[in-house]
Amino acid sequence: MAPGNARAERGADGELIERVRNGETRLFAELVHRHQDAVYGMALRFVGSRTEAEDVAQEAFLRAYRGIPGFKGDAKFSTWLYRITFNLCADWLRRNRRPDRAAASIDKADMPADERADLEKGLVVSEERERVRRALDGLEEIYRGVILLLYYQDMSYDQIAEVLGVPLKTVETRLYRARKMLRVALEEPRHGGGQA
Amino acid sequence: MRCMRVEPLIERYVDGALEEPLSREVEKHVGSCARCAARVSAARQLLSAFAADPTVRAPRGFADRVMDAVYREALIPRPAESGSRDAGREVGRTRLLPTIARMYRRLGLSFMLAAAVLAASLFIPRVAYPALFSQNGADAGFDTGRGGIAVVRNALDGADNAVRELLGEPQNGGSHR
Repeated sequence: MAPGNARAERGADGELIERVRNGETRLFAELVHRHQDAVYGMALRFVGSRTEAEDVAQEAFLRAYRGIPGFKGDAKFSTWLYRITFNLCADWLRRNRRPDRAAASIDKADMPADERADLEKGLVVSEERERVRRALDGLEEIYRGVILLLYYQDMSYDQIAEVLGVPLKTVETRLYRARKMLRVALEEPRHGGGQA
Repeated sequence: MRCMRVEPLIERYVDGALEEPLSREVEKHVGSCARCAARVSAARQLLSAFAADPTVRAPRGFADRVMDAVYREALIPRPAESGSRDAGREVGRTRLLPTIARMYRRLGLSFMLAAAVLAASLFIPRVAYPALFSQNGADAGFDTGRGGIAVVRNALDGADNAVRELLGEPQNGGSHR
């Protein structure tokens, strides 16, 4: 995102936050509408189930609402919100991680109907993408996290560092290692799709 | 710029995270180095593999459900937050509603308590003093000749007889005496 756009987004969110803080609770709906896809998308990529993702995303917005009086605006609202979401996802994974669950995979059943239709039309399906997903599922949590935030959430390195609460250098190191592991996984001979 | 220096910058270059002077230098090097160009190509391939993934959208009605939860939260603040700034002015404005809800709850509890006392007052004497409520108290060993219980029994008989008289039925003639 261009710096100008980021500033504009921050300004727009900032005004809404100020009004919500001053008692116009209904305006929080506008913030939800703006960020719901990103928050829900992040939750879905991490927890892997539509129902659980909705619960996590809803809790993230509720926590954001509760935290608005204390939100100083040092970070962008979106970054702060993603941080809340990421922490909830990490908690959820700590509690519910099952080895047989591919957390980053989005099953057809987990997609909205229109996306399923797109898939069926063959607009977005690719074998390569499925291989990448499987490789991603094989990564450790800290490496998968940075990849998900970079590629799926379209975050900058700085934003990822803010969301994860780690230095920028750590993000770069994790990304470097994650990509290396992904490449190794992707270079492995192709299987018939039986490996999850 | 040499390959050794360019290699660690390639990922950031492809991600668009490299600052401008460096980015231009990498671009220049990649234009003239087949090996680094192949690395850039591999990085872009990985990026495009992710980019091909469908965008996830929140389910229909999600925002409404969130707002329902938010309004519930605003009306009935969580105990930990009710006294804090987190509750917000909106919460302050609607603080009357939980107060009313609490009053109703207390009123309900009072009614329940009153009903319990009434039930106890009706049933406990029947259990504790069954003879008082039986037709042949004397047979049951109930001492009808002494004390306040006999007075109560007589009063009950009187009421009973009054009802029987109204209904035209034969009266109890105080046979228990």
